[in-house]
Amino acid sequence: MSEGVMAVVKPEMKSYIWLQTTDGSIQQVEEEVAMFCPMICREILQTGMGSSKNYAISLPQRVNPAILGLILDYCRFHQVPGHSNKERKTFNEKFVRMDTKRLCELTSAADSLQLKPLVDLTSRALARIIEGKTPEEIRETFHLPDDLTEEEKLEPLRNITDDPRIRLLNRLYARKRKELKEREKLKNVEVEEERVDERSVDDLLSFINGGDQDSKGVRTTKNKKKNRRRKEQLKHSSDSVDVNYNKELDAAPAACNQGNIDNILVPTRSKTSKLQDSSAVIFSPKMEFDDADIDDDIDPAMKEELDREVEDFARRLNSDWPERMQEILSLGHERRLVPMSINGEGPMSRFSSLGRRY
Amino acid sequence: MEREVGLDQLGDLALHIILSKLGPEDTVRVSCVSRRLRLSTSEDSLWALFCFQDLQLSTPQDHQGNPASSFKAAYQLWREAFAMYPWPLVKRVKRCWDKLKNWLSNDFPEVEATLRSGASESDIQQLETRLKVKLPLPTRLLYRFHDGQERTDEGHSSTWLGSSLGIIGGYSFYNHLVNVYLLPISQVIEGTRMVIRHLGFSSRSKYIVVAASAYRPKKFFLNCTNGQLYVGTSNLPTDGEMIQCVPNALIRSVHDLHGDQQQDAMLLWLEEHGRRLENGIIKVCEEGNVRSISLFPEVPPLCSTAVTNGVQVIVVRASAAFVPELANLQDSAEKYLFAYSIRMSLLPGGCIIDGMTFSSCQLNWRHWIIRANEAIISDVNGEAVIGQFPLLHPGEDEFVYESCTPLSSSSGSVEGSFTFVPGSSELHF
Repeated sequence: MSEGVMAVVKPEMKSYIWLQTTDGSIQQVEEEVAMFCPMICREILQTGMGSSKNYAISLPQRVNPAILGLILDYCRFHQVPGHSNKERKTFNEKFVRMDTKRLCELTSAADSLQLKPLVDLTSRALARIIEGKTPEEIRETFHLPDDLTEEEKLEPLRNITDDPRIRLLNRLYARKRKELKEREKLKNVEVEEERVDERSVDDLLSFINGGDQDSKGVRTTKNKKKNRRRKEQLKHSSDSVDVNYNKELDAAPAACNQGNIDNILVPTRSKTSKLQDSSAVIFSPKMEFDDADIDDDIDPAMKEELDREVEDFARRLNSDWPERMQEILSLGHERRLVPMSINGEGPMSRFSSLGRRY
Repeated sequence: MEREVGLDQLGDLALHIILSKLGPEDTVRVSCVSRRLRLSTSEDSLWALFCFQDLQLSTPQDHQGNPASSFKAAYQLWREAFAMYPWPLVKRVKRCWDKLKNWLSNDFPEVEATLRSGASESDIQQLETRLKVKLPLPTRLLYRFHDGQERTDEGHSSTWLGSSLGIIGGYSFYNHLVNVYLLPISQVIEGTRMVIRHLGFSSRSKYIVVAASAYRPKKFFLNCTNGQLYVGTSNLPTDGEMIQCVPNALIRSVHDLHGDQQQDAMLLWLEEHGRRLENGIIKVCEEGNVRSISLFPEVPPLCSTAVTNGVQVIVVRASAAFVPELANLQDSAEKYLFAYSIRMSLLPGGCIIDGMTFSSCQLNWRHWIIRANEAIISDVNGEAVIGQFPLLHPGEDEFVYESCTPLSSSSGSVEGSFTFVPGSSELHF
């Protein structure tokens, strides 16, 4: 303690504390500024370090010189008792205007120095940056690794999105995906990657509800219209869906025999790709599901099973929300569709609002 | 060489602050970013915070009160159970019921016990199918939390005769006794069908009976199309006449899942009722041995108080309640009926007059002026009230009596004065 330069406390002189960052460089800081940091304050009081250059306080690894500079600026301002709350607020707002990377470094450093008010300030700034972003956007902004499986990414989002239709869809999709993954060992047929298109939820739902398909090879972009035609063909009993499905499937392999691979692929591909596209679109326009390999590896027998599964979901969808479905389906489509309601009652025609009898 | 400090390495405190600020939806999105962030977002203390903020839960449980394994699990169960509704509306409806139940558990637990557990989506579906209506969103949610009240069967099984445990409460004057219950779905269906049959409503009408009184035919109807609540007047059986209960301007987006701040009359009505109970504007009152919620306001400004300026301190409190089921909108002179309740009490502290000590007083005379708007329609000067001369003793419970008056306008006033004599009137003969 008697070696080196002693900090002599004289009225006209300030006392200084010496701080050392991990890169070895040493800084000299006014005592009252440095003491604003609890960690430094404790070091000084408990160990007596910091009073000279040779006994500089070693700062945690996460505090590099540049960040230390920022932190000290913060401390220097706030340790002055004279500032009004408004002034402090204004300072803080300006202070956190920096790029994301720096903000993270600052948060981390403040955390290691136990400077809670600064941790709070920077954390809130980070929260404002994250707010409203999709997982993909967050990943990009902060350069984070994409190390979760598709299923893991999907599962939590199911419950929080507001649109009930989307939620039901996601459940459907998630389950379907699980099934399809299990059947991955089947042959791989090359499939072009789907572009994410802007098809609406309604089409997808009506598709699930309908289930009829043309066996003509149609590009995915035309599926919207195909969907509408499909619905019109739908018969009036719940059995018919089953029947139609199987009919189409029978037709598909037949077409296949003619060497037209498109025919097999397109119906099912459009179905599942529609599921995939629409959920992707709804979740977040930027989210891309790049596993286009889902749909190829299905043989007709499996297809049938899967289709029955989809129907099941459709029925469940319907029984949960028959009237809502009715509403959704009636949006802009000409149809003679009859929903499958639990009681098997006929069409729920919409009553015009007849006033009460007076 | 330093590694770049990532969002997932900021330290627990920072991450906790960030995630708490973000709220549950954004936290879930963060949990889908990377493995390390998934871990950070799984911290149950964070979900305990969200459960508390959103649902006022202090222990992990699902919407039916069953315990959940963690707060995170509980939150998920809640979101799943109400996945088909806008979450802000779910929170709002829960707060509405919580407010009512908090008051009930303190002041009237017998009524809390009558609240049935929530209806399921398929129960609601059944109602919609059978009655061919579509319930407004807020009302659906109200039923999801509680399916009306259980009636206590007092030997009258065919009609809706309960006792005095209606959550909406009521009033009584002369022989008119009203106590309004919230009907469970089964009763809504039955009641509405009866109304359609007996009152001749169109079978396609969008009105359903949602609340009704024991004893007297006071019925509340919900219009499923516009979300407004109506109460039947005395002309209900003949003309289907009803009065609306909630200002129209407040009702919005009742069928719009994507609307902002959906509210229908049922929700607004119950929220207001909860507010009045919570603030003590209306209270439980006891008549005979029967406790019920009385709709006569108890506190100013809706209840006025007068204190005598004589030697004995007598406090008189008065308030009024509108009686819609006896209104007659077709009669211009006697369109609206108001009931009023007068309570009198003598404060302790006897008095000495001319050397004699008096520890009681008795009502002798009353003067009443009734106005419709500003016009005087009745000026009564006479002895007694409802034929009685109440004798008041210090520190006793209030003497309460109710009466009513028809008015041609929807606002008016009753003012007057009472004259008491110290001791009792017999002394003055």
